[in-house]
Amino acid sequence: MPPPSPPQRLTLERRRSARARISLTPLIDVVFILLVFFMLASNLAEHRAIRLDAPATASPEAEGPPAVLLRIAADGALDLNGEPIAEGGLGEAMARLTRHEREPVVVIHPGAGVDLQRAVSVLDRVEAAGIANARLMRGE
Amino acid sequence: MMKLQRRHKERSPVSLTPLIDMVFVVLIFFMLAGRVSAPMPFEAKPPESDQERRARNSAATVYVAVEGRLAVGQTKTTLGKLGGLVRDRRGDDGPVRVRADEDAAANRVIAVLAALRNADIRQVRLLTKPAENS
Repeated sequence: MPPPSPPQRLTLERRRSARARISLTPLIDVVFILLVFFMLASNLAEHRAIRLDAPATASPEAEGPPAVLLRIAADGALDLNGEPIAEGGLGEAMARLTRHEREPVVVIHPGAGVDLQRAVSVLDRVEAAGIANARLMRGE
Repeated sequence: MMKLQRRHKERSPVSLTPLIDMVFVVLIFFMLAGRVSAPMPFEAKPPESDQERRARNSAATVYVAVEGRLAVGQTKTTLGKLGGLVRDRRGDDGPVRVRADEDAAANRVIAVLAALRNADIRQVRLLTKPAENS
């Protein structure tokens, strides 16, 4: 007794195996390469930015807002208009300045040997106390 | 012969599909969460700050290293040539970013800012990173 229909069954089998033969390996390779590329090339750290735009007028304005000089010494000590000021008193002194009729410009003047982190921290303090117009000036 | 064939077949049940799924997920994460940016000419770790403003990409980035070396993009430069180089790089009128190391001398960074202003570049952003503890 011959089997029912062997050739048909055979073609079915073959088709199935042909489908399985489409290999995923090249796809995985490419995906891995893309993954490694994005891992190396992209940076996840989100940076912030301090706006340090040049003032609109470079000329010394006669009628401009009064300026207050805040110096940072090499050892980190602060002085405001020549008077030493404690780290803790800075916020209050700045808040007092904002109560003036014309809010002064605070010019931050880091001395030689002051690193950027210190200058930025002081700038942060000054701005946190409500001074809208703080500037950095080059010291000697 | 038969035995060899069977061993081959037994290896395939270790499915790669979950691995591929994971790799796809991680790939999509890095594509969406990260930003592809040009490599830095040298290490420059921005200072910590409470600033809230997000840093946006800009056409030109000035790097300041710890000891004061300068670069615009990948090109190393000096303070004298900085302004012209940045002006060439910056096609439109967008802001210029300054990425300075937190331990660089503050006066060196201010000198860079002054050089940019002398080159008539008015919009400058100093890159910082949010404080660790906040």
